[in-house]
Amino acid sequence: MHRTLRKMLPNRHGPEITHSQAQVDRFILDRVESVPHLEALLLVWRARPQAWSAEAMARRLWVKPEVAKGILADWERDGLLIRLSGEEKYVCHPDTAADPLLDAVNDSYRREMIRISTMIHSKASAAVREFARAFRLKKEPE
Amino acid sequence: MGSAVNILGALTTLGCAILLLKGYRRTQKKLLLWSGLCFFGLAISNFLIFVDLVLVPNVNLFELRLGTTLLSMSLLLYGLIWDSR
Amino acid sequence: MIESFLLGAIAALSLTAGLFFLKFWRETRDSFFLSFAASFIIEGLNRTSLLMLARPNEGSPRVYLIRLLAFLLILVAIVRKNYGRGD
Repeated sequence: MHRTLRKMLPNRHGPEITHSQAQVDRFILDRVESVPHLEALLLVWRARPQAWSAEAMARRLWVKPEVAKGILADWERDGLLIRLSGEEKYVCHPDTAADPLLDAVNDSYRREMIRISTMIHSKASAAVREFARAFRLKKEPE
Repeated sequence: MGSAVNILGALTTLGCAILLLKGYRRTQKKLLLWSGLCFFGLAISNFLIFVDLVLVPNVNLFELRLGTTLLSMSLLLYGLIWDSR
Repeated sequence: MIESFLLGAIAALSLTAGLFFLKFWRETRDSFFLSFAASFIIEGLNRTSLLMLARPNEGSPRVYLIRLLAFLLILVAIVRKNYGRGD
């Protein structure tokens, strides 16, 4: 792009990368169960503090409503989303401690969607990992 | 010696069942439900060996034991096939 | 005859379960699943051998020893998961 024009644009360095690629990958390997799971989380996160309904999520992700409900419930159990009382709507947890990480994940997924999708597809399912985890006697905070 | 193995077997399978069913309650993953039930059934089967050989030696519970084990393994295979992905 | 059928069905299901656990081991590289695979495969082979016996109800000491091995494999796997390598 023309040098002068570029100088006229606002300073765009992208989000502050406070989390390394390794940390993003670790988050995805440990806590993301599937590609729809990741996309659902990022959709709700990007829209914060707005809530997403399970129905709207099902339409957006092209999955059945029960599947969308399950995905959002999974994230609620993981602690990153909160379900609004009485409704089938989910919003991002107000605790902003996870924001830099989710920001990095969001950025990463946008830039390297194929690598991250491949990574998610090649890991064992959450059910298998939970099978092994069930035998951990001391419950360390995950 | 055989009864020692049976007791160990019953305790092991029962322990696995408890851990898996607790895990199911926590994570809602069906695989843990089916495998938990399988191990519980195997524990019952182990206990039936003791019943068969010690408590009611005049009655043959072999088929009942085998049936219990087969049912348990079927539950496990059901879970492995349908709910492990 | 029905006992042979039941034994054979159990053996087949045990071996298949063992295969599934081998698959999980390959996916996760967690030796926990390898132990479970070995346990189920050993028990499957054990039950198969019972078919060869004239009176499968009591079983020989060898059968008991192999079952003991199968149980120990699971116990050791659980212990290693909790106290091994600190993970």
